[in-house]
Amino acid sequence: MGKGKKRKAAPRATEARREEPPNLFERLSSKKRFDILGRKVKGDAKSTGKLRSAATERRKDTLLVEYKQLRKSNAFIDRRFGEDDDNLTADEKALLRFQKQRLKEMSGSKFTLPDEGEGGAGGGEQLTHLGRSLAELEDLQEGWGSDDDGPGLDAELTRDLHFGGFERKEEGGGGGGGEEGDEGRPNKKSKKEVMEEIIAKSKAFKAEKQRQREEDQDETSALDDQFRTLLGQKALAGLMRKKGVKPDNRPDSLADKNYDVLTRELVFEAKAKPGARTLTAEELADLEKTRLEALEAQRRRRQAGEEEEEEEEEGGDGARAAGANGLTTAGAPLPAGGYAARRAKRARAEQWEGEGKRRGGASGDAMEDDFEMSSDEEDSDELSGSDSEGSEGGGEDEEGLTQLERRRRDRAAGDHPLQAAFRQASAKLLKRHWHDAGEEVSSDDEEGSEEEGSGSEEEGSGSEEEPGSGSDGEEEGDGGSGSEEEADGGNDSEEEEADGELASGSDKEEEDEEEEEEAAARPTAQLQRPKAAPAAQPVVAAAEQQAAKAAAAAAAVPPGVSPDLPYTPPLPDSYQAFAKLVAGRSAADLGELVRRMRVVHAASLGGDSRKRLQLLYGVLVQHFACLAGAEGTLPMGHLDALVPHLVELTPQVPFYAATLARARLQRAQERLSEALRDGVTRGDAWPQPRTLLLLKLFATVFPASDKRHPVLTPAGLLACSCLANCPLGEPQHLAAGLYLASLAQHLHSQAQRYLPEPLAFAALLLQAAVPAGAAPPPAPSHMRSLEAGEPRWLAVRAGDAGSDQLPATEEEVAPLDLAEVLSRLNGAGGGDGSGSNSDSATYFCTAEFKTSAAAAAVRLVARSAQLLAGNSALPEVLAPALEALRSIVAAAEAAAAAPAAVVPPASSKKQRRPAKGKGAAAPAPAAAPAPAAVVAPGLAALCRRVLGELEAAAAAVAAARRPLYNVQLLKLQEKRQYNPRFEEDFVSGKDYDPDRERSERRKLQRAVKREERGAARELRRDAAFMGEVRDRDKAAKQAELFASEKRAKSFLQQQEADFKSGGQGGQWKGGKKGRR
Amino acid sequence: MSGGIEAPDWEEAGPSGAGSAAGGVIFVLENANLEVAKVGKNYELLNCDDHANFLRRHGKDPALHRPDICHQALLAILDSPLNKAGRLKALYVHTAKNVLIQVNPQVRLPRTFRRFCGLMVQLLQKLSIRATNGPDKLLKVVKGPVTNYFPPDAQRIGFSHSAKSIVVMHQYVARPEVGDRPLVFVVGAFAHGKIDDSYVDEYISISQFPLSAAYALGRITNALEQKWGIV
Repeated sequence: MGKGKKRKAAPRATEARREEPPNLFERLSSKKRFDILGRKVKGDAKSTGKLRSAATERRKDTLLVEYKQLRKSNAFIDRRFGEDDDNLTADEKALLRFQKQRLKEMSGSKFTLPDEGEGGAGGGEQLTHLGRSLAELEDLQEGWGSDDDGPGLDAELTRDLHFGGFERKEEGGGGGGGEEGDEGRPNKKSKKEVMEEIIAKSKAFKAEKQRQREEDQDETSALDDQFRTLLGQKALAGLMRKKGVKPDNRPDSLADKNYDVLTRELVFEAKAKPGARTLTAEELADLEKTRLEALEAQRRRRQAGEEEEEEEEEGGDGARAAGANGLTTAGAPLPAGGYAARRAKRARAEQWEGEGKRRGGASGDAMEDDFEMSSDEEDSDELSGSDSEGSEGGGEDEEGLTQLERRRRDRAAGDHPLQAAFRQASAKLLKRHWHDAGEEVSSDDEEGSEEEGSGSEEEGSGSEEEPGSGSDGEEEGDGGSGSEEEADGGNDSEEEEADGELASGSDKEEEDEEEEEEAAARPTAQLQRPKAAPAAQPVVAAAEQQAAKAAAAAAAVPPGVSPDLPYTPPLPDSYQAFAKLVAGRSAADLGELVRRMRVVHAASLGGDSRKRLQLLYGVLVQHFACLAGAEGTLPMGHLDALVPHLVELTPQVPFYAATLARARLQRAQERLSEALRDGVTRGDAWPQPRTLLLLKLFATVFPASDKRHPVLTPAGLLACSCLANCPLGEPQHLAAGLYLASLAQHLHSQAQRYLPEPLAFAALLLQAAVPAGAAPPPAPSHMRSLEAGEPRWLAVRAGDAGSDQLPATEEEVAPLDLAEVLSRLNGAGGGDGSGSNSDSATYFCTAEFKTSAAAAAVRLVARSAQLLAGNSALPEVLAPALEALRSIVAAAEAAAAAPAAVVPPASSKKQRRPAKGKGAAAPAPAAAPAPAAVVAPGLAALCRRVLGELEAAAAAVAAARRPLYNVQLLKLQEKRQYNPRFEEDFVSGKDYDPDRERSERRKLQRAVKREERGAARELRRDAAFMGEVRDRDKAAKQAELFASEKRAKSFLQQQEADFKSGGQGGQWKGGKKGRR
Repeated sequence: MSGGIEAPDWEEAGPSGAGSAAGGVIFVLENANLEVAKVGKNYELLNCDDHANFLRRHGKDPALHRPDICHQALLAILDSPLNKAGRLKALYVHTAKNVLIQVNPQVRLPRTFRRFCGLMVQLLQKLSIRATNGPDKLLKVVKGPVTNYFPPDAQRIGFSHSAKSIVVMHQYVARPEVGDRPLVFVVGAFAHGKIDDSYVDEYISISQFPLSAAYALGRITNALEQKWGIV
């Protein structure tokens, strides 16, 4: 194959070389980007010059010829021999002519048989024209075709193009006979007739036109007349407007109307009147200060024994002071919002309560209070009466009311059955309540009870607290939390009171309406409102002198506060001064003293009072620490009196407070690490109650939910490090640990953070609560757990005090009294009074303490579980605690199963559990080796309940877990792969469409397009060619004209020259000579 | 006293941004011998076995026409787990006749050489190949130079036995300075010769011996898989 090709290829190459001497400038070759070896492409290389000249030649032969024949009716065909051929000589031409002649003659009709149509008539002769036979002429006509209508104008043409033709066609005649008839018709109508017809038609048309025009004119004139009459009657006046005026066709919108109505309502029916201006913090502080100063002046006068003369004046003073007080309590507090606002609100609530109590708690200097009281009572009665009557309709002060108010009251007092029923019920309730209250505190005064909520908790605690001014620490309940609750309660009631104040104080109508609304749902709210009214009255209605006086009297000396307390105490410049000032004062005195200090030296009064406030803050904290660290029972009342002030002061001196707290915490931390480092003191490394209480104070004063807080984060760390590191050497350590654990959890509970230390400590306590030997020692854990040798601190032994009165039910388990515990802790830690020390030690060994502490630990675990809720590590985290709980429950059940095996030490209620040998064998450093340990049934029940909850939570979390999987074994989603679409042997240009029809169609379409393009190109080039030809013609004509003009001109010039030179033909040089 | 005002560093730091934002890799096969010729009536991809005489007749060296090298190299890249994991961002083949082919990493190339030849013949005539099961263009002839298609901060690494530095590929790609910058590896797909391209930043040799293109690519892909934890 190769050979053959080679052979073939070689000669072709030589041929090409010989044929075309390549003119490189004429050759056009397309460069291919993707050249394919061995492929020949048609038109690969072409010489443009050659191709173009060929195209021009072709056009000259065809297009140019046609162009030249254009608009020519005739064509000259030269049939002479040799006229086109230059090669022929004249002789040859003649010879050829002769031959042709002879041939014609030979093949002519002489010797041929005649045609059938011609018959014999033809014979030898035939018709000729101009020496040629007619038959030949006919041939010629046919050859010319229809395009030239020369002399041979045939019949058909005549018929089609001349007048007779169409009429004949209308007749629709088909046969030859018809044709003859048609031939006759046009002859019938002569030209004249036709013309006449046409003329008649045009005349009729003209007449019709004229008639139409006349009719139109008539109608127009009629319309004009009508319009004129209408104008005369002014019927169209509404449709016209002046030239410059724009059409105004906006409809009156509903919104506009509504707006107008609202505006009118707002103007004529004002529903609220502007109240008194809200005073700024500075103004309030200033007012309070002046009030206290006035009171101090009064006190001094009283000390000097001149109160009698001042009575008159005092009324005015009191009124002013009352106004100020009212404003302080009712108006905006110093801080603007957030915690500070809440605290301030709480403080105000306390103040209101205090005021309520103050009226009752008058002791030594009760004269003026008594004096005022009667009037106050009257007043309050009157007011409440009017209020209650207001809802019933028709008050005494009707004349003071506007018409609108009266109407509203009437409406409120309508005779709807529901309203009537409500009025009845409320009246009854009101009556009974007042009656009860009166009875309850009949020994005191009535006002105090009126001010208080009906049988509320605060009242109870308050009334208990009031008399015992010095020794009220014990009653306080569990320290700070108790006071917080109290404050909360006070807050709630205060808010309601404040509502009442606003409503009753600002305008009565409002209140009435509100009462009507609220009454159905909350009758008690309505009950409170009239009671609040007297207190609230002085707030705004300063005009009401009597009420103001009453309030002033109430504000003068709070209950439980000794009247000799200075009203404007100086700010102590050292702790010693403060200590001297407060030495021997009661808790109420202390609180009031600090309050007055703060009022007199308020930060908003300006000056350097802020700096002095810092000093005061430091002094207060130090006093708090001193009180907390005091020997004996903790003065809880004093501590609680300090806390609200510290809470309020902290936002005023935030940086100082934080620095102070950090310093104290740092000292505590150092002390702790030092104690832990030392082998001797290690046993008693737990922080003192003072530190514990300070931690609690910081937790109260600073926001506990911050993730990082400069004070609370170290505080939490301190608590946790104590929990994790301090060894349990004494039973009281449990109490301290429990306190710290609950505190640490409190610090982190708001932010829902998990802390391991409290939970671990609680689990440790639970392990310590399992009766010795009841359960195997806990499984080894990374968390702190009870060693096998450690004593079971919380396991109740039969010999413990109070072990015969174990709580039977969950509710009977007494909550751990932290105040008492801390007091004991102080006693135990101090170790100075031996009596109290031993007392404390025995307290921590009582069954009651043990049970309560164990219950507290259980609750701690439950709380931790709540915080952990939903955490997937919950079962593992809670495992030690769960185990301990289970063993407690198991111990209790085992004891229940074997009730009478050993003689029960006491009542049948509590269960006794015999100690197993293994557990008993463990060395117990505690006081007495217990013969038998018991689990309080109440504790067991609590444990059971908590255990159930925790197990359920753990099970839920475990059920929610998903199985682990090996990432490497996981089938990864592979990226999708695509197969390329290609043909086995692809040839470019071939259509690989499987649909044959479609490919065919596409092919045809392509061909059509190609043809279109080709035709367009041809036409374009033709036009260019023709343009060139025309230009050339025009140029030739122009040149001819120019030449003739030139000729003429030259002739004229010649003549002129001849004329000038006198026939010398322009050769005359005379002039030149002459010039020279 | 620990704790308090300043937060520890680990607390402030956000979740570590490992994995997701890592760079991809681009391969360029330089000087691939892919040439179509009309042999007889058919169009064929020239290779030294079948078209030795044809090539000699046209005055070409049959030893240079080795499309099988390109085939193997493409298979080595496209079948690597690196590509399956989606780390191969782009793949270019630059032929000896200066045709630049962009290969979609998702293409599944024909396994047999004959079919590969058919694919290349069609590609070099039609200039693009579509997928049977999708509208994407899997192979496309694009306009050069290939540097137009590199990310701006790409690191271009050429492979040559004659390079000055011999490196261990695993250690080379694990260097911290490589980081997450996109990598461009330029590998020659020819039997004899040298990459002669100005766009390469650095030439390295990854073995003491001259390697075949397919094996060199295997080494490179292995190293990258190890770096990115693709198993």
